[in-house]
Amino acid sequence: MIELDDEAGRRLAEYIARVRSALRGCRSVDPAEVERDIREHIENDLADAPRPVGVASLDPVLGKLGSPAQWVPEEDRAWWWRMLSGLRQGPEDLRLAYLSFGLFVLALLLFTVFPAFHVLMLASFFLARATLAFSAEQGEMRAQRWLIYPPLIVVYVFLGLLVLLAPLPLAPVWFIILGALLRRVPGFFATVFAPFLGRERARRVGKWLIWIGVILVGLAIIGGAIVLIVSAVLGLGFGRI
Amino acid sequence: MAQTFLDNWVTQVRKGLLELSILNAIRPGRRYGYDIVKSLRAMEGLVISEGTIYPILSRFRREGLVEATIEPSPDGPARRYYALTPAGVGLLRRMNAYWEQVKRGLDSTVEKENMP
Repeated sequence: MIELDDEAGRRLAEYIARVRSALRGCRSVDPAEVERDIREHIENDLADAPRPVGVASLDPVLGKLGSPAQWVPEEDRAWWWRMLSGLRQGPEDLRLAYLSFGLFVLALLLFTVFPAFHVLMLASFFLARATLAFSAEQGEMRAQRWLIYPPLIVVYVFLGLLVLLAPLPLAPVWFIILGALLRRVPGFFATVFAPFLGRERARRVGKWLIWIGVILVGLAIIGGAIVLIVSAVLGLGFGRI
Repeated sequence: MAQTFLDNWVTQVRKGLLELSILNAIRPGRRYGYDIVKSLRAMEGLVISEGTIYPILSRFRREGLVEATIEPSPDGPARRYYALTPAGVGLLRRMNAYWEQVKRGLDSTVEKENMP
């Protein structure tokens, strides 16, 4: 064990604490092993320094070792460490993404409490959209996609079902109208359902909806005709039923 | 913007090269951590913070590429020696071959670019 003066001892203890903190939650390395290597490195580097070793000798060694926070790549750390780190010091889009996911989890936990679930889910959704907008500005998505996709998917599925099924009695005609709208203004739908529905996909969905609508209208006409023919053949009149 | 890009690029390149250099430093025979650091210090621009090397060694050991043994030293504290495992030797051979291939390709591209 190297002989340090009081101040150098404190400095080394602080540094080792930073090493432990930096390596905590790191899956690919053994923190105890690294700490041992670091201690060994410091002792070797100070082998010729006068005893007791002071901060004047110790600081350059620690300086060359560098900040422990930079030793391990982010992807090697546990998810909870990355989440806390992202919230604490990450760029804006990372914070937004983590906040969005946090609110989403909270909304699920308060599922039965009205209107907490709805408010939290909407807030989570808007934060996810803000993350998308921010990432688009930056030209890259730094946040993990799974952090923002859950609230987006929940709200989009709800919106999609609402748009598709609200006018259920007029479904075939509505499908044709909606399909035409999707093909006519794909940009609008792409914006509302970003990032899952691009302009091209909106056009394709529109085409399918038109086809489904046309087939349903065709089936309704054929079905109606068959009912009329059968009732005429059997001598049944709708007015008499 | 260009500076940020360059910084990110240098970090990525350095990371891969540092791993390759550490394995190559151990290839001739077992070495202790501080000795590896000393040998890599000479490589300009490769080792910015020396502490980075130890987590890499620990990861190599966990992945079975190197093995570590602790032995007493006559000059000071007990030393932790690292040596390549057969898996490490095989991987290093392939990494070096790949690096040679990339280097040749890159050199020829750069030469073409510099032609008048």
